[in-house]
Amino acid sequence: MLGFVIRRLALSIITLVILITIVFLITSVFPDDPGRSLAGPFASQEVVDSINERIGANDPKGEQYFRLVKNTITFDFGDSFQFNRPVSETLFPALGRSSKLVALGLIMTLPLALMGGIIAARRKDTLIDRGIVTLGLASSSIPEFVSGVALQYVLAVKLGWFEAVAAPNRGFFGELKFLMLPAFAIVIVYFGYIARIARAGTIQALDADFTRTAYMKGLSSRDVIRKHVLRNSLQPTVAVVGTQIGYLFGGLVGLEVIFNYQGLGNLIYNAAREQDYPMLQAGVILVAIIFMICTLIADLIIAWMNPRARLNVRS
Amino acid sequence: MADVTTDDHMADKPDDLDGTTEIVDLEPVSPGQVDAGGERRQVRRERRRLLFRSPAFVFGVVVLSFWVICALFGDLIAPYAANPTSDLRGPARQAPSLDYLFGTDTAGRDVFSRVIFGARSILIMAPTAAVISVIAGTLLGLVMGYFRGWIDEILSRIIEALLSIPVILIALLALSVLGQSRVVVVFTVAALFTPVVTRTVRSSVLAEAQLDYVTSARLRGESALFTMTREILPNITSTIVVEFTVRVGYAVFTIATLSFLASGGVQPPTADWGLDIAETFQLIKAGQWWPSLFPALAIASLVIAVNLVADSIDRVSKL
Repeated sequence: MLGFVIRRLALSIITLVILITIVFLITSVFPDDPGRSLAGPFASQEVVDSINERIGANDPKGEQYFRLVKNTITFDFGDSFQFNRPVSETLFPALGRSSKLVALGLIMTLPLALMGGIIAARRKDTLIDRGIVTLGLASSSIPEFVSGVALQYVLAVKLGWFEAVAAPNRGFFGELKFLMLPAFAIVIVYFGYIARIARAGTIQALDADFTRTAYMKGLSSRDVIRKHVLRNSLQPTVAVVGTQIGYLFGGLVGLEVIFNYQGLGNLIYNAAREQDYPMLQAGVILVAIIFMICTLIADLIIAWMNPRARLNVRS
Repeated sequence: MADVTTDDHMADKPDDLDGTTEIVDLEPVSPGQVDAGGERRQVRRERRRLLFRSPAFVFGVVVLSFWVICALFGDLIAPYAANPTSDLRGPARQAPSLDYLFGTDTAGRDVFSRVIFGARSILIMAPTAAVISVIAGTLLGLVMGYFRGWIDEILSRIIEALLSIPVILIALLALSVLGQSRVVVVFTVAALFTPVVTRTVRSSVLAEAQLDYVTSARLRGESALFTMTREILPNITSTIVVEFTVRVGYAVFTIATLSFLASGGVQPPTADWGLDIAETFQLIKAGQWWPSLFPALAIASLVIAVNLVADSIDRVSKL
């Protein structure tokens, strides 16, 4: 198990290094003048030059690259261009807010999606199965800002059940009342996706020889599902949830904009609009690190559930 | 790497020599291959029949055709212009009525007409991005899956790294540097979809490359290019078709989101669903839901339609 963890960790670090390189290439190979875009078109050339000097835009590219690697290791990306304050001062509170939204979204999505998937698998090829699969496919293909618009209109404006816009410092329940709406949008996007994977995994496990043996031993259907099928059927689901949690942290830009929620997605979006490269690089790399931690945890859970998975790290 | 493969073939040779008599036996069977072609055609016909019997597919095609017609003949369908001159504008902020089916926005423009015209930009950009990504991904996937070796190893690592970030974030990062025009957006989205396509194509090439027909093409001394394009490619077309339809769905999703984030290469006042939502969603709280809800429903119906079509084709191609 320890060997597996070490190999898996090494793979994550290689991936992260490649990603840092890609981010560096995108943000610094293309000719641009960060000093000019920061100071504006009417600033004097001396001001532009001094800004470029201060932020290190004139340094050789190699030096800039190693600075980015060093920044990632220490997680200190210097000052944000927008706020003139350390990047981490805005980045970590945004991470905290994203975590809350992701956690609530998952708490609402996972039980529903797992139940949906397992029910569909047990009623395979019936109307219920087709209904769950088609509904899931349809709902998961809608961009989350689109369902956000519909939810805002129906549940907040028309029915008045929830808050349409984030209002900070309302205490736990006040915040919950607001967060429920974007979390519903997460349910709409991810229910179908996770239910499909859970369904496929369960169908495979239900067809397996060990399930037949368990039935033939005379176990009740409930015991077969709980003790034999679930342990195997949930492995692909765990893998998919692991990758999707990573995406949820930064990928919900549209949703965060619709609800004016200052999470990581909104932060990176604003940094991109303002060409705030330190913030942009830090945000994207942070999302990548979260993704890697989530997939790592998912792989460890799978390795724990299924000893055979420990043998090959990744093909 | 090439040396290793020839070694493999050498190792295979003695077996083949043993089996020469069998090869003679195989001769009469070769007319059967003509039948196999007919059989394949019949399978294709059967699949098409199954497709049109699936309600999800038919529904998807109908909705998709509706939007294509709107994109092509918007001028004939829409009751008003997308951007009428000020004297031709209706009253502002009208709720949906018989005169203005979907109401009017703050500038007095007809939301229904804007929804009709808004189909145009997305239906041009999304399929184009999908086509480019599928072509690039197929080429890369063929090369990686056929040659393996260090190119495959390096590209696989890069693909894995790219897939560890939500597409929308890298798109925002790239577009903030590259600037935003429709062409840049299309190529950025295509470039970001290429890794996924490559991974899919590569894995089916890997599966095909182990089959006898590829080995025999190699033994005949066919070039790598011939083997890839004439032997393997025709056998993975169904994978590629499915991948293309799925990519169109994701491209609609991604480009609509980008244009909602004012990064989709379309500038106001052009009618565009994502852009129109971006400009009006703040008004929902004030009770003016129609200028954002209708474009939202348009996006939802288009992505759902594309995905229903993609899923039906995928389901049928696996039979």
